[in-house]
Amino acid sequence: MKIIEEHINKKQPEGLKPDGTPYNILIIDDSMFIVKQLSQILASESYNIIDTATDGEEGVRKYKELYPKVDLVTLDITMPKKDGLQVLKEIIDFDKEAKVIIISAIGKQDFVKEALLLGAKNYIVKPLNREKVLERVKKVLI
Amino acid sequence: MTRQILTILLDNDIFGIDVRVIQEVIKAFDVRRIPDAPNFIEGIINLRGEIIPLIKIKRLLETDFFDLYKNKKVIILNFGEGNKIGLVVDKVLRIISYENTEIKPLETISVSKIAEYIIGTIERDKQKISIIDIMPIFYSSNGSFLYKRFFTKNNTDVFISKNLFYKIKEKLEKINFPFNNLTKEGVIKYISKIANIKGKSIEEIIKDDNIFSTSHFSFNEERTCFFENKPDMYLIDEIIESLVYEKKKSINLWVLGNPTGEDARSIAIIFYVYKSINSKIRIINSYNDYDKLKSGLNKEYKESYLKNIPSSLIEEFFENSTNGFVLKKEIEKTICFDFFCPNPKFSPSNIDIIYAPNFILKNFDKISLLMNNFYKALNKNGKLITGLFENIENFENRFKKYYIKNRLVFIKE
Amino acid sequence: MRIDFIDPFLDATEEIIREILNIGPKRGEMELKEQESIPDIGVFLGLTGQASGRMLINFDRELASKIIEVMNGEQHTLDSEMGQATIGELGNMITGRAITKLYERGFHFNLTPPSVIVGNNVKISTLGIETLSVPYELEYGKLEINISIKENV
Repeated sequence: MKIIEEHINKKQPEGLKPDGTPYNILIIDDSMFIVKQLSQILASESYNIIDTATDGEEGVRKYKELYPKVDLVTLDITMPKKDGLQVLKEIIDFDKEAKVIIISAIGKQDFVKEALLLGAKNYIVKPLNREKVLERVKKVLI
Repeated sequence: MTRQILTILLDNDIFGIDVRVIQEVIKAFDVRRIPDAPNFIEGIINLRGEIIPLIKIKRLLETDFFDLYKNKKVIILNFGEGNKIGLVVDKVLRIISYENTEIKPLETISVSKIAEYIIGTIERDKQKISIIDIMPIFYSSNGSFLYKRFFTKNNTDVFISKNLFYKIKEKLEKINFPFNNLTKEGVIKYISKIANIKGKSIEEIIKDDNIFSTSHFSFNEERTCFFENKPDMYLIDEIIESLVYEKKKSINLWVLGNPTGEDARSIAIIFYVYKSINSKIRIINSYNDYDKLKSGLNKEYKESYLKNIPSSLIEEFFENSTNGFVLKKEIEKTICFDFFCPNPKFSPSNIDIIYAPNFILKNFDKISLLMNNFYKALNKNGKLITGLFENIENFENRFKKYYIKNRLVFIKE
Repeated sequence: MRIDFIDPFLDATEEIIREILNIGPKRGEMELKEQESIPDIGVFLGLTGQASGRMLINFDRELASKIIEVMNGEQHTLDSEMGQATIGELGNMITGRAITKLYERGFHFNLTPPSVIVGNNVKISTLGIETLSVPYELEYGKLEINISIKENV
């Protein structure tokens, strides 16, 4: 019947796990603008922004507090107090399975390489584009 | 009759000099420079107690190519009666015998000065050798030895009537060349000098359109070839040579006025020719138009730009590229393209030579800012080379004026 | 100032502005200055690495408001936290893109987090470090990028 077809053909939001609960994302970025933009993009596909942090120290602390609920972390490299790559290292040291995507305005090859070597799963260069963000996030979570 | 000549290389061509006037061949050493001497005089040397003047025969005969050979040889000519001259040549080849009957006259009428002194040509191993008639170069028709007249100084002070002054002003304004306090004195001196050399009056020179269509009167920031302004390049060569011999660790030049970089690259080549020395050179090529400056980066040159360089030397300085020639990387990297406009505060520092042909004219409205920039940029004894007609004396008294080989240069003392 | 330093900043500015506003900015005449004036709002980021210095981008009220509106999908004032965060992010993106380009040319630079200044004709001086000032004009208003770089020899 049509209603059943519509129900079957309705696209499942990308932010939901197979069991129907949303993926939890921790956003670590000192820019209020990026936090808002990322939240909007991810929330539109039903990802759950479990928390945000505006500097590296806060970010590491929150990841540890929320562990093991965080499914994915988005991390900015250029932040005050603690450098993004250092934060990445601390999170991976704490949790080897941590999934971190670096978000940065800088697209230098050696940065990207270093981040990936340190354990980041992917790297997005700003400006943020809805398709790009969703695609990379989906890729990492699968 | 059999004769013998010593063959020599001058740029691309081989010449022969009769061995009967040749005393010996040596390497130039301990050359004492003579201030204010004509530019074809290298200087004097002391050869076993005898003082012998060294003459750059290429300059004397006004050849086409820029002088890029270093480590040259000197041929000591002995004309008898104590008249000796050292002839500076690029390379000395070998002694050849020939018969008078082999000599062929020159095929075409040549406008170059050296053609006046060629007896004819012979051929050896498929190469053409031009035989130089050495005597008329240094002896007048009544037998007097000429080199002594080379040392007389030209009187540079000239008196111009008001009438003549206005005629010159009018002529220059017609060709859009600015005749103002900056250029006035320089132009008058130049025109008087030309009049002197040509044995004509200043009125006659003003009427000669050929003189005013040369590149000296062009305001152009573009160049049509490397070493386009040869007299300036020779002057810079002299100054670089003295800095090299002072064993200066680093030599810094600031070049302004030619955004696409031909002047800077010519100077980089001049320096490059001084191989195996310990000085490091840095050339800052500045201009106040960003886009024009940018177009000069990595510029590829057509062959016509290389016309002032002896063909055998082109591969020493250039590499082939898709659209022509580029300067070799090791030479190009001594040059840095830099945006600059006259401003109250910022200029490069530690500069030994500023070469700014017509840049002051182009930025006349900011001349005091610019003079300040120049003064701050230069080291002690640093030299400012302005355009041929730019005399900054009315605008700047912190520099002292000097004449180097008859060319006005400003020095920061 | 070396052209190879200037180019990446000009290209980055023109590209990012075009990506956000869909029109290209028109470049005006460059100048070497020691003091800049911020008409209404400016963002600055420090540069470290091979050379030290900073990048300061000034906007007039009209252009800044337009940019904030386009980037957020809604309006925010220049005094609001969101408005300033947006301008800060723009500065971050432009400088980040410039650093990437510099890297591609073999120069190693890094940037610091941005700071945003809001005021009326605030004057800023770099105290002896050479600053290149490049003005741009768009139909929405004006901006000016000021690059101060001192090479670490």
